[in-house]
Amino acid sequence: MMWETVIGLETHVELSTRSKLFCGCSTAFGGAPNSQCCPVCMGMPGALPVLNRAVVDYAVQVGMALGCAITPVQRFDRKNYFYPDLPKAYQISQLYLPVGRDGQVEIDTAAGRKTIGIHELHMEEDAGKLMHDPWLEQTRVDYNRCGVPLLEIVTRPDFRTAEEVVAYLEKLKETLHYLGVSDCKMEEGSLRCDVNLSVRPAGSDVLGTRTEMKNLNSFKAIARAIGYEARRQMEVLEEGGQVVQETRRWDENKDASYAMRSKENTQDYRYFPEPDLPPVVVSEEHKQRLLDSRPELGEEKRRLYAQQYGLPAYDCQMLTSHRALAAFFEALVALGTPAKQGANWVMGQVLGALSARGLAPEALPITPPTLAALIRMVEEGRLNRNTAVKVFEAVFDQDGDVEAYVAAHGLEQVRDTGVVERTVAQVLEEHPQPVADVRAGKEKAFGFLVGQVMRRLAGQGDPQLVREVLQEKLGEG
Amino acid sequence: MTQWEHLTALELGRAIARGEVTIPEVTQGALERIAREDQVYHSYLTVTGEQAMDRAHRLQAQLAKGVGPLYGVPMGLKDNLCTRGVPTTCASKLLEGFCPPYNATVVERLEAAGGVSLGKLNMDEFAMGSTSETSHFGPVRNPWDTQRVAGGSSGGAAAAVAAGLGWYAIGSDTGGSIRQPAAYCGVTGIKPTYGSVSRYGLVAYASSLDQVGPLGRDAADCAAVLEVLQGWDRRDATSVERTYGPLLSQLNQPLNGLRIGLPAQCFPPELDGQTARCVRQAAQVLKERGARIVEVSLPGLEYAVAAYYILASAEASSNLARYDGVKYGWRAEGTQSLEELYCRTRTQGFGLEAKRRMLLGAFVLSSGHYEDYYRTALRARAVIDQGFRQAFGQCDVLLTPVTPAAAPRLGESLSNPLEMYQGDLYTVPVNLAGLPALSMPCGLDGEGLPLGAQLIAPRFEEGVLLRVAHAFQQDTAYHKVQRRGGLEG
Amino acid sequence: MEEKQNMTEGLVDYLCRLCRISLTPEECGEMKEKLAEIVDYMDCLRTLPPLEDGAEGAPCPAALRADVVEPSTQAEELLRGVPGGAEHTILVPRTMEGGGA
Repeated sequence: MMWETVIGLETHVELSTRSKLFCGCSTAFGGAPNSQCCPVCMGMPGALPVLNRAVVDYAVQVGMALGCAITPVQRFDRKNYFYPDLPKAYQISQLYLPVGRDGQVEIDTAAGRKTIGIHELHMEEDAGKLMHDPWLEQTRVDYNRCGVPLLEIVTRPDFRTAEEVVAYLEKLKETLHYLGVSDCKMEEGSLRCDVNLSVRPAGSDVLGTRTEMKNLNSFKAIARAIGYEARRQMEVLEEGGQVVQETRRWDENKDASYAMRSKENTQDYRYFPEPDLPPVVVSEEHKQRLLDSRPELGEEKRRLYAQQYGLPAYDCQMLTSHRALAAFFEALVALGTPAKQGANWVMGQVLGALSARGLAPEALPITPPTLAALIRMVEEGRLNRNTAVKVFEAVFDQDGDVEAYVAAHGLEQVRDTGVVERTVAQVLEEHPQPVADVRAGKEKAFGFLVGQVMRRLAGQGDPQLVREVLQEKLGEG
Repeated sequence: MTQWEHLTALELGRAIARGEVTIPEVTQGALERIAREDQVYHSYLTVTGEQAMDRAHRLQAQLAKGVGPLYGVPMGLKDNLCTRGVPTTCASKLLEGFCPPYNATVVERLEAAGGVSLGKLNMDEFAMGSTSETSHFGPVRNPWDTQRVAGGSSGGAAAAVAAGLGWYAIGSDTGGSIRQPAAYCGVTGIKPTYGSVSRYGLVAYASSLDQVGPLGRDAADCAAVLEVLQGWDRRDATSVERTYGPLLSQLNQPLNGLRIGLPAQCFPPELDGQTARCVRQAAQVLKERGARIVEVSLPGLEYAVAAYYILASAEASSNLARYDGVKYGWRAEGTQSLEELYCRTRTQGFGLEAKRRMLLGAFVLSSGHYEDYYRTALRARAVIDQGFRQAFGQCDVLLTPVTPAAAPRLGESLSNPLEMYQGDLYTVPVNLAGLPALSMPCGLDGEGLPLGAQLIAPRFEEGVLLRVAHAFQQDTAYHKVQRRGGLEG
Repeated sequence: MEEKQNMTEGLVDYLCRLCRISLTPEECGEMKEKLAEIVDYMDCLRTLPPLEDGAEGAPCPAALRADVVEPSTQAEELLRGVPGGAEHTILVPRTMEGGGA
């Protein structure tokens, strides 16, 4: 039996606003328990929510970037249920009139380009944290995260493979990252993904019963979980059983998913419009203002680099892999650095230095003017590339002055023809055999001689000049 | 000392400003009176004697020219208004002893205006009720006849003003909870335009219907208090920036040709004869004052009670879900599991009426019923709103009864909740449409119990309501008639 | 409104679970009677006329606040009244894994 796996994703993104969705409490990570709370996010009697305008802006930006139709008059709704991490016993979310609907995301996989449909996108508040005390039969409740703004993005069940899912998540991460609306770190919980999966006989257009998987903390875990669950369902069906619609928890250690103990199978959330919040009106002008102020997205930059700078696809991909990196590259070019040179240095030395120090691109200590100056020195022939690399390493951490460093260490390339001629003459005298070899046509010997001259010049000889002089001298009988 | 208790709040304010009496003196007098008489009425749940005297002394020391008209005047606050450091129980076991860490916005405004709070007033549990008998701490008794209810849910507020235990009170009105007790106790009360007074710090019952408002001895007092309370609050997203401007200074404007509409649907044949007579007589008085009386139609009223109870109980079931014993308030002891904690706390903590409304609310919101009940009620709300706009096309203010009859006896209402709900037919349409409405005494029934008349105006036309009521009160003395066995003794 | 569902004790039980309250069998029977009466009364909405166009009116747009951190001035007091004698820490009986949503 040939099976097809059908997957849909629900992704929760923590938005990086300074304050919470409905109150002025800080969203900063790591505070002492219950130190970033107020009557509103703690659900005290008489407290009322007031909407953070930045959340609306971020949400609409994301909606537009994902090609959604933005709902002009939006509302919030209450989702009612009991759990200690939910102080009001309802979550303020959006069901009937969400931020955006019917969008699409293009992904690239080995099989080619594919469009993933976005069903809807909405704002909602996060819940608190529960910390289970293993010794006492008690659970501690911390409301610091309660009320942090989330964006929930729901796709259509358009995925067929784990590869597609990962490609989508990478694309989504990049988009959110470029928009500057979220850190998107799965490890830190600012990007959470639930996978809805079902299987069906290949060729069927009827959806099978699906399960929902939670607790997926990395792209790798998602890929493994998809593989596991698809196989599990296929086995169940092949043995004549039925897939139970349930929520399953992924266990990384066991590399398997387990059905979660569900209290009631389907909860009646009794959604109704949130009476404490009037509708949110998003006008055409507002949307235009947001578009005008929107930073360029990764895809847009890649196209630009290819068209304007003629850079190959690989370079474009590498340079836009991080917004700070792309910004650095663009600054280099703006300072006059030739695009291909700039690209090479960024992809090579810059990425290498970051990696060696375990730094993220936002933390780049060297600035574009410094690197531009260094590259210019190479272009002008004042430094050879090997030396330049050494200078780069030296000035990287403190963003030092390249001119000063080169001068202080006497690293400027030796281009004094007199010096070179004398050195070449010396070397030729000391190495008669290689000289004879060169004249006999052995190219390797030429390289040996070049090397010897460079050594004498402490590596600072202009290689071009050295070659020229050598050739000239060798040619003279 | 007793001479001061006959004054209205504004008159007392003037006496204080002129130095004829000190704030500590009147405060002390009020506290003594409460101690002497309130065991019978049970209008107060918490008396903040020490704080009141402290404040009275401080205010007296800072008394200067140009203080506001209510500076130094003692009053009471309904116990669903959060008062920092002072118990705010909503008359429920679940919040017994709960001291909020903050003040409601209206409380802050009253403090800034020099108000002196005598304490927190008794009410129906979580503001759900029409008699103030569902209070966990015992019912409120009507000062006019202590065998009768004071009305609800702001029964304590109305009784306190009627019995002279404070010069004005702050209540809340979701389906008539200021206007109906005002009518039952022979005082004046006003529910303002939805959104014109902040709800921040008002413990929510039904968020899209609740409003805070004053109860006082006359319309002028209500105008003065409302001026203090009104205004946009950044902490309440449903509060609006528009205001109704100055109210006190407009009170004496003549009624020249103002059209007062009597909706035919509010005077059906089965309406109690005395009530109908009193309200129509009020129309006559106003006519003699220069108003024009017109018969109008107010379609949609027949849906109001059903729509109200669907929407209010739906919102209430959600608003009351937070009372679970986890973060604040009362918690059931000795529970072994989370579910037991929730269930025992809420089962033991809530009274019967609260439970009934929560179950009704859960029902109308539950999947399978949401469309039929909740969404239909929303449509009914729009129809009623439309009906009012139609009526206001033909008049400037509507005049109706407040209740079908005078205050019932204690213990008679709770066993028949549907009948009790249907008694709200004149008051709930106003909340559904978010309109301002005032209740003023307009006569006594055959047993000497007060009857009230209701004035309803378009949104932000509180000025009209108060002018009309003030004009009525210039020519009548119903608002001055003291309760039987009243202040005179 | 289509066909009515009758108010039964089973339904009352279900509603009680949703609200996290419990009623004795006697209370349940009583509650069923009263709720049935009330819900029957709601039938009067069946004759509701259709809404005229534009009856809903223009939405009053939400007042939004700026994304500024304003620490709560009541931070200390917020946890003071925590029940269960926990003072400054909120404790509940051990919960099961898995959330409510």
